[in-house]
Amino acid sequence: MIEVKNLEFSYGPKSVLKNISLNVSEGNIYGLLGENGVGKTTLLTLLCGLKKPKQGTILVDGRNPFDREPSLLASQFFLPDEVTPVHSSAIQFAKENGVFWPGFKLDQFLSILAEFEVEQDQRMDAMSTGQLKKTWIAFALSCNAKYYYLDEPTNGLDIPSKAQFRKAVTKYTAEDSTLIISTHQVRDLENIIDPIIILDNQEVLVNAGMEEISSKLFFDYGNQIQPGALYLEQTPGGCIQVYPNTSGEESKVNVEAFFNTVHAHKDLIKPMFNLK
Amino acid sequence: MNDNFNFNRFLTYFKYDLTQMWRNHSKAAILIGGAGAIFYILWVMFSLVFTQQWQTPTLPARFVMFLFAYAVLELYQVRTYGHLTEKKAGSSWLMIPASKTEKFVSMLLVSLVVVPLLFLAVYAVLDGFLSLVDPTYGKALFTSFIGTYSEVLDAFAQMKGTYAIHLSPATIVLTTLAGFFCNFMYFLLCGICFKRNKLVCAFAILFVFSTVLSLIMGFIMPGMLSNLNGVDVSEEMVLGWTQGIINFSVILSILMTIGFGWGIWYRIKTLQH
Repeated sequence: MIEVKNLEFSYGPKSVLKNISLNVSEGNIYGLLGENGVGKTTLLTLLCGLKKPKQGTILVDGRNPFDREPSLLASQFFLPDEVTPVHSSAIQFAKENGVFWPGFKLDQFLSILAEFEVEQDQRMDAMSTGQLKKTWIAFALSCNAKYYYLDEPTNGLDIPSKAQFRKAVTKYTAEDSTLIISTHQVRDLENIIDPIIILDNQEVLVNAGMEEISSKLFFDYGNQIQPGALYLEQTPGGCIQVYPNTSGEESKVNVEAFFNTVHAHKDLIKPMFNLK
Repeated sequence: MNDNFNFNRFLTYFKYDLTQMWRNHSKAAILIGGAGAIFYILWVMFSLVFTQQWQTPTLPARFVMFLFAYAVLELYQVRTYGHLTEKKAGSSWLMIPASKTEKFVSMLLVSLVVVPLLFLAVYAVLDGFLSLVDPTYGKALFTSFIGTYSEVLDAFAQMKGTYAIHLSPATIVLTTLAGFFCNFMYFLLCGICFKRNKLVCAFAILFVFSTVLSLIMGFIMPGMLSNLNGVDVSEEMVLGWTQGIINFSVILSILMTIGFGWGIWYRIKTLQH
């Protein structure tokens, strides 16, 4: 369980996060969405203990992540957007680093690597950006951590690799594992993320599951334009409209349309999801 | 799980740290350790070209070269863990499940023991090899050095009782070690504190520090010397002051070493990415 209370962080005089409060429950794959510069990466680095909050508290299983206690570090993995090209082969890297995570399985690493079509003996500093990212993803998922903080994990991956990533995440993470995935590529991860956290300038706009979202908003994929739509997007096959769900009818949430709806109607959406 | 210090986890981490050191810094340590041999080759080459004679570096020249290589190794400490402040090097070091104490101890062992020993071993082996294969090269540097060092120790031992200075061999060893740790830890600390231009910043601090110290001494010394007006300065007094300065420098080195150690620990504790 991750509890964030009144979190504040700034880079010098520039405030990035202000009065952020949210709870992250176990066993979910959270999608952390937001425009550029709203503080998604900053929030992830605060959660994993790479940064110290200026104000407020973060508790991960009741412990402060900035203390960087080995027992907590061994239960989490932070994957940055830009991964480091290590001067060793993929398998050597995994063997050297894996010893620190009690749940690490080398055979799992090799399986994921094979699924990603990356050679285990290839030197990491000679890999392409995509191959390097896939190696790090394979390592992260082999650690069998309880908490994963993944920053733009699909950046730099080709189209098949994105599908393989989704498959690997669902296949290789335990049911009680919690993943927080920061991404701009919502379509890449639409089918695996639930709940969704939307960050806006210094605040959390939404922290809700797909069921809750679809119970409150209706996503209409038909051709008939509704006058009360909060959001309307023309697509080649018709259009996507989002409006308040007054009938209680279920619909498939389109994360991108939802994100745009939230941004266009912040004052309406926030109280709808009980965030004041 | 002990989150402060677990010996098994420390061993695992130390092994990992050694692997990283070997991968990233062994070439530099070996190259600096090979400075004496490179110096020998260059000396012989130049003498052959310009004098058409086989001449090898003299013992004082070899000793100066060793001091130069040692100084370079000292400066190299800014790089040993300098990657900690470089974002492009990633945050893995901070995220590896080992405690801050384990990382601190391992860092000190690698920087203050392993890297210098590697350097010394390479230097000594190459120097010894040259001494064996080339009769004109003379005695190995370390043999000569240890001999000179023993003579100095004996000389100080004989002074005891005759003069006011009491420099025991232990004090000399302590002074040497304190100076070594103090210097190495200073550059190590600068390496993990500054994000860019680490060496320039390290020297800038030294410059500011020495300027301030000179100014302070400039204010204090005239007052102290004026107290000596009309006093007949005896040899005993001079020796007494010398003893005081030596004691002060040893204590200062120890205090600075402790201070730099604390600084390194605090930096590890508070480092953010």
